[in-house]
Amino acid sequence: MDILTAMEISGSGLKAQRARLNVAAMNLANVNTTRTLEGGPYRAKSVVFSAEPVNSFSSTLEQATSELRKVEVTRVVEDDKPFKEVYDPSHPDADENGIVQMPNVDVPEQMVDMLSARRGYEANISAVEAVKSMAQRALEISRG
Amino acid sequence: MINSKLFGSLQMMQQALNLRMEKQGVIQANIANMETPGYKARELPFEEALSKAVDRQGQVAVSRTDSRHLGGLDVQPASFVEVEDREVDLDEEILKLSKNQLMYQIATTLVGKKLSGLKSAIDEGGQ
Amino acid sequence: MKTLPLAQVQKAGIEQLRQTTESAAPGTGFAEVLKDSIQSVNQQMSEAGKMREGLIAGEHANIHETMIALEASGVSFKMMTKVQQKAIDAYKEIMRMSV
Repeated sequence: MDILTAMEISGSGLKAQRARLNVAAMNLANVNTTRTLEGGPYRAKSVVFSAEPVNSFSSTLEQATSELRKVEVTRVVEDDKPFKEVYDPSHPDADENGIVQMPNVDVPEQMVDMLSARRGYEANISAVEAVKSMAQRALEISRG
Repeated sequence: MINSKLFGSLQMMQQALNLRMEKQGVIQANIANMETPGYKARELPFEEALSKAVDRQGQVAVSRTDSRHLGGLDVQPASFVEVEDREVDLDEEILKLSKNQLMYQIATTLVGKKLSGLKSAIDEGGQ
Repeated sequence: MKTLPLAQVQKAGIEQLRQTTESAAPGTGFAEVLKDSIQSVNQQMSEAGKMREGLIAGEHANIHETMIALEASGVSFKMMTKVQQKAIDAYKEIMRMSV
């Protein structure tokens, strides 16, 4: 493996964790959205990751690169948990019984997801820093 | 052709550096995929791989395939990657990351010293 | 002990040196060995140069291998130069043994 492949792998990790963070933030922002463009309350979303082979840019057989996987966000799915039902007759979207259908966003779950995504993001940053400093040390071989 | 009498263990040190880089890739892939459903952690058991690459005389087996690599390597690193039966443990991977980086840096420093030592020895030789 | 004239000893010594350098079996004389070492060092240096070009051109990113190849070929060159120098010095030394 080489530094450029490493960047591709960890770069994909950063992108994936960022996507996860963004979706959690979007879910939290829409926790009270009762009207969406599609009609009806907002449905919580989540990202789906999948492991993909890396584009080995230096294709020699001597590398384990064929075994390495990067990560990609293949889909964004909607949570099909039922909407929360809240009794609030004064709400503009209340039905004839005064029940409002609220988004199925689980706030604690989203918070945990955000923290976890942030941790994952930082871990990928550490990986990038590690391989970067390895490359720099390799360049210094000639300095004895 | 590298005169192995002159360079001694340099071949092995280079092989160690190559394997450290491979291992680095495995660790980074684990970290990138720590949340990927179904992804099992990979390992590259370094010491095992290195000792397999060094034959009984302590010299690295010469590659038949790629003459670009001086006295190259007859090792298929892909065959050393092991898939564990567990998911990625981030704390463990971060630890492995630091350790692998450190070992790589130690190796590059030693290689640098060896080469500069050789240069001095040649300069001083028989003055 | 029979004493030999100095000129005769010197002549024998030079003859022996000449025979060593142009030995009966071609390819084993000193000149051959020197030529072989120049060729192999040249090859090592050109391979290292190719790795360097490949790294710069982005064909590969194997930094440590490239650096080691470059340094090692430099060391080989230094070694060869030193050996040649020593050989030439030794030859001159022998030649100086004349009166």
